[in-house]
Amino acid sequence: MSVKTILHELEGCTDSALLNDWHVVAYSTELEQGRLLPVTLMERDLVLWRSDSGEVHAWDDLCIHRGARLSKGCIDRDTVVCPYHGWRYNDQGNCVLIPAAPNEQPMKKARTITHPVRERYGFVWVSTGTPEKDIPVFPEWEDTSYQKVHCGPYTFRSGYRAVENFMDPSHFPFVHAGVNGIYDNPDPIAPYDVELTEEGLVTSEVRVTQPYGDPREIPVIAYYAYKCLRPLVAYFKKRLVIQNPEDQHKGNEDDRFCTFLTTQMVDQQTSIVRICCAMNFNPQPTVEDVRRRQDIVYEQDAGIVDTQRPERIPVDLRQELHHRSDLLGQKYRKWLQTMGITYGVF
Amino acid sequence: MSSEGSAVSSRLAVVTARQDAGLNICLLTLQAEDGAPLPPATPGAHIDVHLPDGRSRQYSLLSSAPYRIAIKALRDGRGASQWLYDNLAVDDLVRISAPRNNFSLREGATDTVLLAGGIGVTALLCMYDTLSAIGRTVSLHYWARSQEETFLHAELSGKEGIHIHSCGGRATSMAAVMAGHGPAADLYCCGPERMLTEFAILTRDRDPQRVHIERFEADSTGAFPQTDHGFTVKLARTGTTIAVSKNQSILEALIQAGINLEYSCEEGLCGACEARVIEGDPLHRDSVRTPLEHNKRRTIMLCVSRVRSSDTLVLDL
Repeated sequence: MSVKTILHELEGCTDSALLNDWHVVAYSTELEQGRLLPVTLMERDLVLWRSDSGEVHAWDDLCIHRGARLSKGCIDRDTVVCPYHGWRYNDQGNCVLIPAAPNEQPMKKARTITHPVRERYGFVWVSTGTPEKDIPVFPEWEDTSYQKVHCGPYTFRSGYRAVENFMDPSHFPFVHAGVNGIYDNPDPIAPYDVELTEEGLVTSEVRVTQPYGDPREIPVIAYYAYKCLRPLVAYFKKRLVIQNPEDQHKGNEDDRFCTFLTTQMVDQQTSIVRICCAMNFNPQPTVEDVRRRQDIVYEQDAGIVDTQRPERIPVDLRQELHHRSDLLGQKYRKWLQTMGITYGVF
Repeated sequence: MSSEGSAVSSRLAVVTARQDAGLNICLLTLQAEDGAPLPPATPGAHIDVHLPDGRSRQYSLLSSAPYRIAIKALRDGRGASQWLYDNLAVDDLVRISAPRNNFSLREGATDTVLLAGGIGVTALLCMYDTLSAIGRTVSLHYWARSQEETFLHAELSGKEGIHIHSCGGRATSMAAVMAGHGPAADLYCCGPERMLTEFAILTRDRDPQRVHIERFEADSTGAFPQTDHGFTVKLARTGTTIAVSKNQSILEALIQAGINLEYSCEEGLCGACEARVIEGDPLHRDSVRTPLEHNKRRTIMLCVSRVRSSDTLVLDL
């Protein structure tokens, strides 16, 4: 059996649209020097580590020698040491020492399987193929008037259903009653537009009433503008208008709250959502206030989204039943289908 | 308002003024496209306004020279009024019928009481103006949900004989108003169904000749013209021609012909089966987009759209 066959065996997803894309697999802060972090991306086991140069590396979590997990080993003198026979790999992935033959130059083929990796927006992005596009843009990241708060990780079953849910304003009054919507008085969702652009799917603003729409904990009218940037990366920017006259001093008309959401598909039924919120309020809420609210909302989401069956999202619109208020979800499913995605979809 | 007399001729009118007249209410002034006077009308008359998608809706004339009508956009946003409210602007052309009157006024009455609920007031204002002008005793009682939803609140609230009531629990009741008028009074009522029912009960013992009701037709998508016919759809990409029968949707005909299509609700509510039109004059019946938007984008929803004539519709499929 050739090595290639083993890799195919280890690889769960064969859709080029997913393989040749960037996927968030960790927060940058998780990668302290000296730590080997095992992660799984679409059933492929990877090990992440940060070398003395400060760079992050993403390799298949397997030693080319006998397939043992490198993540069970350790980092010593800026090399990764395999736990099985002590083979050592430098930050280029080249084996620099085979302890059973210490005076021999290790063979050229003694290399780990390395993958492109980038750190951006406080996340670690990996591709197990050849990325066709750059990492999608998070416009507020460079804008210093926005405070950024990372939240999560939140575990969902279906990654796509988690993304679709993130872009669905009509569940707010039910799943997030009292927070993002009013159970007894749900907002009718006015028709909105969805366009497929260079960036991805982009909507016009969707208006909703939120009794507790942001960390300030005051009733607001929120106008959501969504972007689905990649199959597993989405974003919204919401414009906030404070409802009560007596609360007006707590904000101003330029107030915005954004969320950049990433999804790591571990396998077809397990996903990890990591988000970064950006807001330009004055005064800014505390990091704890932001996280407390996000934790509530995403926990409520997972409670429902994880009951959706099948976990694999149906991309044929004849399956399940759609309404015009789900236009973004419909376009999202069609988009996945057009990209030829089969992994995790029905 | 009934739709009898459908053979009434229609003409194009131009919107010469549009004014905000309350929350989601606009007041439109219409004149004949060629500047000629429009047919005269008596108090209580209404006209049909035709939409580009084939629907029509009746509106009371607030005045007949020039024609003035008020349009209230209803909250569900699917109806003809919503479309007219959203789309009609000054200089737009709109097709209207000649006026009809199923609610005529007895100008000789000694005491006239006009009872209005909501936008139903538009059927009664012309009567109030006419009777006031000839010096008859007239009172108009108008129940409105809130001040901002009151039609022409500032203008009406100052007029003699006009009483604007709120709809709250302690508001003046219709029974209390009617108790002040004896059997000789002529009573007119126009408003929502619940109000008309109450009015019918309260006037049971009165002379039917002096009790007048104008039924305010519900604004719904159910008012499609019953003139469906079969037509042909041509698929531009394959050159296939498919017949759509009178009782079949385009979607059904295409599925039957083995065409693989996206669809979901099959009622014009979701937008999944949107298709591009290359040629033809489609009739739109979905709630996803307004007919105007569809015409701009050259799109239809295969599940509910039809064709205006029996022509062929060429689709980008």
